Amino acid sequence: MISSALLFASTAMSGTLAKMQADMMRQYYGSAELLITTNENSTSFPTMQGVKRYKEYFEYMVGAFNGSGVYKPNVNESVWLSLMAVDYDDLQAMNPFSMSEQLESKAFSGEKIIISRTTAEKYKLVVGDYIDLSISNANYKYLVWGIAQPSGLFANEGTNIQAAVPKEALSSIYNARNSEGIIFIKLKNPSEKKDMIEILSKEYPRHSVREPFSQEELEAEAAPLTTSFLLMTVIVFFMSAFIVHSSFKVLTVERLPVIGTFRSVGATRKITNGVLLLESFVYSIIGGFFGCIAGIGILYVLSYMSRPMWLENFVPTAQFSLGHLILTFVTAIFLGLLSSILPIIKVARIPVKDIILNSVEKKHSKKRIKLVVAIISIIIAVAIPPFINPTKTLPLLMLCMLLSIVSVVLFVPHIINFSVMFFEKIYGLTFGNEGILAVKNLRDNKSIVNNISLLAIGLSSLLMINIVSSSVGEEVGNVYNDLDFDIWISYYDSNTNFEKLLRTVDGVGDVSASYKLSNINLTNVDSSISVVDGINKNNFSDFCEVHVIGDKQKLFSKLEEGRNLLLSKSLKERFNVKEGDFLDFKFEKGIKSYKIIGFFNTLLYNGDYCIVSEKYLKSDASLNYYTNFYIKTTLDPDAVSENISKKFPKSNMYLTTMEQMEINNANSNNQLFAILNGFSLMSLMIGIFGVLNNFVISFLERKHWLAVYRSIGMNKVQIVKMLFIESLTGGIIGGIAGMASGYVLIMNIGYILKGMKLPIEIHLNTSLFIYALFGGILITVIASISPALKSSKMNIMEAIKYE
Amino acid sequence: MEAAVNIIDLCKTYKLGKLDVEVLKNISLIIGTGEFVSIMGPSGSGKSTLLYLIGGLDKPTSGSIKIMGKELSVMKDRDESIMRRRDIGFVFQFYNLIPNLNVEENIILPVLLDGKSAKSCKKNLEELLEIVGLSDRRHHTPRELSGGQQQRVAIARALINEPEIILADEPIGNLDSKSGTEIMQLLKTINDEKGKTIIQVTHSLEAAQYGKRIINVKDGRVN
Repeated sequence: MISSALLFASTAMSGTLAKMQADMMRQYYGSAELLITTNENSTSFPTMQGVKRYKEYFEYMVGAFNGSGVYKPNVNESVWLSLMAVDYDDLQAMNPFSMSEQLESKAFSGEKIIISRTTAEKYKLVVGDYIDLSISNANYKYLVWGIAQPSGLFANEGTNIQAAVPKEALSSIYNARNSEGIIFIKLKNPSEKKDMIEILSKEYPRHSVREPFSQEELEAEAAPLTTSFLLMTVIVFFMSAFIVHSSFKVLTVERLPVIGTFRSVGATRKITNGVLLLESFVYSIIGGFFGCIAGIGILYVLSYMSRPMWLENFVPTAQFSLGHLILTFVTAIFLGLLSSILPIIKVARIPVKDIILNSVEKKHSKKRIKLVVAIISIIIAVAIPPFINPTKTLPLLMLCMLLSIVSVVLFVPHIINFSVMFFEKIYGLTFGNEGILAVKNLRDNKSIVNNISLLAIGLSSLLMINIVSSSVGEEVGNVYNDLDFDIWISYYDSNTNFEKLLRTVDGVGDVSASYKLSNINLTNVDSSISVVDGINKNNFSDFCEVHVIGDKQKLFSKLEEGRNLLLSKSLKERFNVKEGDFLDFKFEKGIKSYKIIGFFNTLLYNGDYCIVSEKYLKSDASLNYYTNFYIKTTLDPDAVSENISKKFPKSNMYLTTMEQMEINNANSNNQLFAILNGFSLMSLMIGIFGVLNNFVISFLERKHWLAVYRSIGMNKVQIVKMLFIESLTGGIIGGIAGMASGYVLIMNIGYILKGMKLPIEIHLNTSLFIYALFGGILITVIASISPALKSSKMNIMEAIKYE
Repeated sequence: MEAAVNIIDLCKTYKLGKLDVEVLKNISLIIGTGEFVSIMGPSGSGKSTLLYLIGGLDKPTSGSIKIMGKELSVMKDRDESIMRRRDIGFVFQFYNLIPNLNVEENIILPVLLDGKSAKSCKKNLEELLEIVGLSDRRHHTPRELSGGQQQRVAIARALINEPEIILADEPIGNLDSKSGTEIMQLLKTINDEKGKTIIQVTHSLEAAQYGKRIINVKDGRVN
């Protein structure tokens, strides 16, 4: 049931995240299917002239401006407002919302504003009130014209406060009376979207014509999370199959007398197998059904936890389809049947006579074959990943990870038999004869082998997630250590004066500027690079440290000697290139070949990054002005940010302080790993559940033998002591096996992360490994309390005669 | 003759659902040291219950059992266990050897439970292996032995701490006649040569006749 629930939650999570993202985006874009906006090539705002030619294809075309203003509710507080400047009817057509109150007597024009009910309540504003707004460094008095219900543009205010103002209010401030900041279009026939993008792109060659977002974009955004969920699900699925398999094995053994009677009165093997399979089928149906219900609950919790920061006020809606439910249900049945079929086949092979006479010999499985399979599995799991391209072979890497888990399960009996010799000597000295007996009992004890395997898998997955999470934290910290500036500005509409003016802002110390291009396609490696930075060799290093392999100054100088580039190490591995190779960049003006002259280590832009000389990038990409500005401040960065915003009020630059970037990044990472930790904890919970289950099964199986111990003179204290030592040893071996398999998993996950374009260097944390060991011991020792208590209360005579 | 086992007014009642079933009714019995006693009776007569009560594996509802003069009812679990490992040796119908221990380890188990080292009983172990004829099988596990061999190991285990009393519950009930005869012969030798008190429960008259006294139990009473 638990594994079905987790499977359901992880498969549905992808859709849920995409839906949440889509809902969030829809809040802003409404029902618009196409957008026309400015881009780095734009020299002016788009006008409605172009779209008007095709108006018969459109349900609506709405021109609007986006801007921001500062509202000061009191002397000490400043509140940023996101302003959408749009005509009231247009906004209602595009993104309908209902009004709570409005000034019926006056039209929505001039200096009027619609705010959300939340904002009105927060700042005690009512319709008819005037608020002071500072827009583009000038102060205005805006009349609260309406208060909107939480719907449409005002549905959910995240970190920003949203408000609507008449279009002319901003267009006049921006001196753009006959143009639009953004044009929203809804098509009459949505299937013409692609054709229309092509047509309008020709109409607006210096602007972007695009969909607000595509399904692929949304799913790609959610991919790191969904892949991680899938990984955890694979582990959980494997553990569940293991538990169901071992439980069913015990169940069939317990049923042997009934099966014997059944077959002795004429039931064929087929009928007996059919009955047992039907039983497993019924369990699977029940597990699948309740798994789906529990899965919906888990999905809600996960979607609540995984909301990005900017969606924190967004009400999560679990997004799942009938397909998800059917998939989970069918998988539960498949898991149940698959895990039970082996024990059923084994029982079917036992002769009826042996079952009735209770002379079923426990056949010793082919240990040698299992050992060979274990060795081959671990060799594949360890040896293959370093030699394959992670981005193209993600499924193979996941298979390697699964193989490492398989090898642990197959190795455990051998680890136990090997360690018995060692523990016997130690325990003889520390725990006396009970210790020696406890260790001897571990040999060939299926339940203990299962316990140790489950513990190892659970602990290793928990270790893997925690190590990855702490490594990400450390790596992110390292990234910020490499950046020696306080404010970062990304501004595609800058001009020659911008840098100069920037330097005059109060609190701005040093400034470095660069040309930056995003998502540049490469023609000769069929891939792209997220960020290409055109740098100035003289001051780039003062602001940003990339760990160049080799002589940095020499390589930086060489950049300026031609179309040369320095490539990040993770891209080197991804593209499988070497020094001297060429990368062909596809610019608007044509393809240009850049020669790789060296490599550097960095996690900036997740390592999807390369450096070229500013001179060549500027000319090849036809960039007129710098796009990126790194600022060192002499005053508090927050205050300097405010000064910069005030200085360039009309600009649509993206500005952030390093501190804020760091906080946002840490929050987003913490959030991701909190969810994954939750998932891995669930897998550990399944492991613990399996361990508890095995202990009870083990006690039932061994009740007779414990009674025999008692009959030949073992007292209650000695029995409890023996059981505790067994558990302790199981915990130690399980913990060590968990540490070892955790190590292999961690190595594998490093490659998988590279495959997911997250080239995180894994930092092994010894203390986490030690916690895992003690955790393992604690789990088994606690799990043994109940069997120990039961054993001391059992009736010896009954256990010997009837068990 | 000193009494190895002295039973006075022994009663045992079980709960079967809401019913109280009287298994043993006011049994009084004395078994002297060095005696070889066979307890016979039909199924459900209470003979095995009587044996298990003598061995301290179950508690009587009323009455008294003294083993080598020591009253069982006042004993704590610890003392009872010490008695079971030092004064009593059990032999069961289904041998009850610990499956993951080898012959040697199974035999010395009561010694280990007594807190002594394996070395301390080395001489005794060799002698017993010789007696039961399993010297060459000492490292085998129970599943590698025949039923008769397993029962021999069980007898050796029962003797390792040189207890005064051997309690055997249907010792040849699971064996073929040849192995059965060998085991009974072995028990008789132990009784004759080592002077151990042997109390066996059996259905077989042939096996019972190895004993010097036969006690019949019927409907919970000794006849």
